[in-house]
Amino acid sequence: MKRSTTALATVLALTGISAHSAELRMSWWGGDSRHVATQAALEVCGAKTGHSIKPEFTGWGGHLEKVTTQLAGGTEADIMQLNWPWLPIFSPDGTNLVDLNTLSDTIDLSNWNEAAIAQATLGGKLNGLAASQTGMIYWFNQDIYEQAGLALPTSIDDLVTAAAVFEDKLGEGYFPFYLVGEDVVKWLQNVVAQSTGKGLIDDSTMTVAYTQDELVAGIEMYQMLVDAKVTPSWPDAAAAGNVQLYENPSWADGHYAGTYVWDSTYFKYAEPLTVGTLVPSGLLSVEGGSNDGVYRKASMVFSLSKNSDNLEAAAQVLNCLLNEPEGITAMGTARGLPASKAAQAQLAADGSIVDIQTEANDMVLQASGPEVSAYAEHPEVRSLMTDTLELFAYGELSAQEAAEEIILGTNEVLEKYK
Amino acid sequence: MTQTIHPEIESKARAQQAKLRRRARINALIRYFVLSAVGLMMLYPLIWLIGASFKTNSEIFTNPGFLPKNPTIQGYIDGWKTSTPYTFARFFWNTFLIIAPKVIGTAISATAVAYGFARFEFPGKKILFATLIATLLLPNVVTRIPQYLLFRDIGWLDSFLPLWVPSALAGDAFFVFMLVQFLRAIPRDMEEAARVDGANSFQTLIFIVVPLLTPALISVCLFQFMWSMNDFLGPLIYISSVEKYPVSLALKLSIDTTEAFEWNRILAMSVLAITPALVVFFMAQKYFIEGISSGGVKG
Repeated sequence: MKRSTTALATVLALTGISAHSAELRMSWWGGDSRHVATQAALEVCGAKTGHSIKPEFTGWGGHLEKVTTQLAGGTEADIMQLNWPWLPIFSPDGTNLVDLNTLSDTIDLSNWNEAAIAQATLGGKLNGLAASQTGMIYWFNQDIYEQAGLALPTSIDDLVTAAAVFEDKLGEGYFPFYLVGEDVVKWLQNVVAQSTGKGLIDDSTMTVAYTQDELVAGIEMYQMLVDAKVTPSWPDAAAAGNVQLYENPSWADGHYAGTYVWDSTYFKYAEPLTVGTLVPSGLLSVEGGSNDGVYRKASMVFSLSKNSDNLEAAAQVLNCLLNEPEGITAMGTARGLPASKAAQAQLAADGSIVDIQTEANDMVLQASGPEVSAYAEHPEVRSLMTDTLELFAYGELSAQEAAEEIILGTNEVLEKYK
Repeated sequence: MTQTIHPEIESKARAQQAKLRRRARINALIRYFVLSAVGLMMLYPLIWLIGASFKTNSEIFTNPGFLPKNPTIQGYIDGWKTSTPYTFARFFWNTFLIIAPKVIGTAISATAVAYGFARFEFPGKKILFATLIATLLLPNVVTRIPQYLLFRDIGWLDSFLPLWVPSALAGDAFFVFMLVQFLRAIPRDMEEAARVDGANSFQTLIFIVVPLLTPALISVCLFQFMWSMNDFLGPLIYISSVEKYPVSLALKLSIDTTEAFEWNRILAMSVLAITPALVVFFMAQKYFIEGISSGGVKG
């Protein structure tokens, strides 16, 4: 009896100590610069909060599989970097991850804007904190447009006009814009959202919000861009080897003078340019549009594990990484422009953010548009839309058939989550 | 008497012979040309990989040929350092720590199990063998999560054990099946002779069967070596600490979708990663081929 009480006391004493300096794990995916920055940040925040945090990181490939297995087995890291669209898959009603509202004493939630909080809230529970908010905007190569004697486009019509001028003045092989592959899916949602004021998926009914005619109008607008030689066609790009745009020599030398991509990928697209400079150009308006139709989302979120033994400690570390000066400096912009206001202010003050990044991010944050549903990024929905639009681009489907296919297929995927 | 062949016939025969020789030579020429051309085509990706690992990152996308304009070993230097606190040597060592027990364990356990199935009659043999074949046909992914839960409960997560222990206990049905088939082709004469001389089952296995089985065992080891070297999903889900990553995980460490990355580093490390497999294959190639062509009782 006495021995067991002593043992119990020892256990209590040990757990008591571990509440002060906890052993935590944090997992994330990324590239070299993010790995280096995050490891450094964990060291700083570990020292500050008195906890030790073991980093677990991989590249992008396979990370979803890894996290899925870990969540299924209850062995996930205490702090996890998750992809925003994974949230409804892992925690459809918000109960499979920690509700961060309950930790608001430790984590300063006022640093996130309403949109960021709303997007990561499932079933009334805040499941993740956005590392950054990003959106798709248009980027143009200013020098090429100047060579053609044109101002940068502000509407889709301007693009069509530009295509004719490009052919006249710059010659064959020059395009004012490049829109191929999965970007078409996002672009389509942008133009249809502008003219209808609705997002692709209505979360309240869990169905596609667009009617077939509305989608057809968007798909036909894409075809119009291809016909007008605004962008190379999908089959042509595929025939050229489907090279990523930023690895494409025609992008580097300015033959493709614009594109529609995430604001956070500025460096990836700007650095390879050998001719001209890349400028963020907001969103191009569609005739008769009621809003900007911005496609904006939390690019990745930080979540805490429900199985964590040291939730309080994990929350302290997370707050340090995102909201406290030491963590902010170390993390820098390895995950894009931080969504936390404290981090934004600090990085802007010490000059770690290039103006053009802030400018592009402001365009995203200030643009109007319907709420983007997390299901719009569901892997099955995305591949369905990409495949269908590809079939359309190859002439295998008409615009009507493609729109019908998208609506039916997407509703079928959503059926599982009703 | 012997000089009966007319000189005219003889010269005709000679001309005929020369013609045949010429035709054989032309045939060989065409044959070797086609073989080299196809072989080169198959090898080109590998040649390109090696060439590109000496290019700078920007040259990889601008110069499609495999000869680098300004060869540099910067990719190797930076790639070796990695973005972790460890160098690539650490990841090679980890891979070795997984592969060595796995290959040795597979060779021993698969031989023992195959010997049992091929040479002994015991109750339930048919059902057990059918089960073995069934696991061979079962897709790996199906057992992934149950296995993960099992190893979690044993407390083996984040260690190398889940990666090699199942194989070391004859968990790879394919190898057992392969050895059983090989054993069936070997006549029992020599084993029976050993029995007559007083050897027990185990001695027969070690002194008679294993030497006959050597070529097949080498193939087993080679296959297991290459598959383990390339295994990505296993280490991915079982190992979470960076210091325990094997090469297959480490190679993907820097590849992200939103960040442009240094392809030349990844290619350089890929070249290093395939080197052990190539070296082992070329070293064992002789026995590998021998194993397939020979076999059975000699003399």
